[in-house]
Amino acid sequence: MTQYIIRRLLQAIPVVLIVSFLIFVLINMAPGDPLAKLQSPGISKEDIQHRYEELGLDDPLLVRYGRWLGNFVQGDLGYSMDSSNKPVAEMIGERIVPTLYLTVGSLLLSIVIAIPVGIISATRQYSIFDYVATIGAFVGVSVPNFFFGLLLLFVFSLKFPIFPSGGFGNAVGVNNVWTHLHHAILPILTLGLARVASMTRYMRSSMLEVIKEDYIRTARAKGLSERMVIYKHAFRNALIPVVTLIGLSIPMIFSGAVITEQVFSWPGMGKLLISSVFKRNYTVMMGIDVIMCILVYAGNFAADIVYVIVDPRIRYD
Amino acid sequence: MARKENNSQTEVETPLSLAWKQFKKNKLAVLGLVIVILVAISALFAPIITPHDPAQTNILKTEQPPSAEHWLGTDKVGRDIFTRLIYGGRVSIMVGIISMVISVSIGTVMGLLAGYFGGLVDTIIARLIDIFRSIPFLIIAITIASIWGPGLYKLMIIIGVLSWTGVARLVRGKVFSLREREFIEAAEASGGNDIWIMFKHLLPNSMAPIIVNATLRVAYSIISEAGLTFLGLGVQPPTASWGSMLKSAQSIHVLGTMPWYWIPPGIMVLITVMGINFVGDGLRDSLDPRQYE
Repeated sequence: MTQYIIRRLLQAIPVVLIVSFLIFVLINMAPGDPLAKLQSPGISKEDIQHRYEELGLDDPLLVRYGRWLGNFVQGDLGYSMDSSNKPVAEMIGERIVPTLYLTVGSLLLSIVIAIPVGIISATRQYSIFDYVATIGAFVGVSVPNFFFGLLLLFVFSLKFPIFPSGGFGNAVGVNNVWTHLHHAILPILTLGLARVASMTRYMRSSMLEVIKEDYIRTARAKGLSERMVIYKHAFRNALIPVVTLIGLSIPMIFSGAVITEQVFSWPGMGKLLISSVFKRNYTVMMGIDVIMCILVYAGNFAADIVYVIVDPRIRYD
Repeated sequence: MARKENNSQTEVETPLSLAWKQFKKNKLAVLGLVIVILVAISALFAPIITPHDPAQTNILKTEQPPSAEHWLGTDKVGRDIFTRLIYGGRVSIMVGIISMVISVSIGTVMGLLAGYFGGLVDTIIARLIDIFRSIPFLIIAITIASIWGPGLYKLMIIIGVLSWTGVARLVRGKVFSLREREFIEAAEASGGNDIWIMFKHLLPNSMAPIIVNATLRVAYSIISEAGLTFLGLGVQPPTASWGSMLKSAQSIHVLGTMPWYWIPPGIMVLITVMGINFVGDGLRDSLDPRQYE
């Protein structure tokens, strides 16, 4: 197991290198001159040229990437290109917690709802419950998350002002947890809906498959109670493919978070990305893209570890 | 696909007619097909359905509530919302289909190459698929759109180019299993070259999963278009699209006081995508009952 973890961590290095290089090349294709705002009659051409050399902007792409990488491993992502001039690492650091709050929250929500609903749907196949859950899952997969978010905003914060319409809430002291949660409920529902829906469908079909297995018949033949059969024998085996699905859906959760943060003015990395896109703040874009990809990779990695734990048949050593 | 059974002269059932028989049994799939056809007809015949022009502004009649003349009222420059709604379907359908064609073409070729040649080619393509799958789609799409500039055609290319991995994986797996079969051996023995074998023998036999995946890709592309446009990086004004109509609800004024403006485009995206998903599900069951993904 330890060996597997170490190997996976080593494998992460080339992936991060390739992904960050691709994004670096992409962002360097952007039109525009980073020093354009310096150009004025008061500054001579030589001075501007000197500044270019000072900043290393004339170096070949690979040299510049190498420099970026060197800084990156030391935790330096450069400085924001807008007037604030803040370090990008610091800006992302402020935003990472709200984004994780949202993504992890909606992942937990989908697990908590989808697994029991999927089990009940499968054990009572073709019942009214199953029918409603299946249709609900179809709708949930098909609704664009921002439309669902707008509907929630419209109903629960404009028509019936139960929840705030945006922000993360910055309370201090004991109220902190509740304030955050109060602000987070609508965004987490928005981001979680599609996940709940697809995971429910998956859990249901996985459970249906497992119930047909011989060892379930054996368990029933032994005279075990139905509860024991379902929750002790079938459930654990049905969970295995669902863990795979969780791993696969992590990139989608981060994608969805960008739109959700925009709808709810949630001060996360996605909202920062959108605002820096419109300000052409390339250093911030670069930093967010790379950090997001690393978070996704870490999420996949965590899902793989869980996979090994829930499925004892798999040996990675 | 529609090759006939050789040994029976009477009562010939082509795979296509068999599939259609299966498909018809699935009520949800038929419902989905009806929805998709209705949306397509309304978009195609938009100029006949509505007397208004989608881009015609009227500053004397702005932000009007629904009325007999303007079924869904007018927007902030006096354009008829219902008209823009049905014209918006054109954008969604076009983006959905063209992005799908791009992603399915790339994915199919990649999958054929990886599955047929194996070895180093397969290793490289498989790594590429892994990398693409670990990148959150929207984040890279946003970055590309911001650098390249927004626009309808660029949007189709971005969505298409970024989402080929699903098809590639399916085709690769399918080709791996087909490669060992006798008819491929026969094709090789009779001197068929690689291209011939890939496109004349392997491709037709991999059609079922490709068609199912292509259907679902259309739905996914429509949602992606709406999302990117909602963020301001997709279809640009004055083109009418469902995403841009939903974008206007980012203003709290429109969100709170003009629900007839932003709820209908959201519902249109929802039912179109749902219809396509129903069709895709029906196709999965009817084209190949053993196919699960």
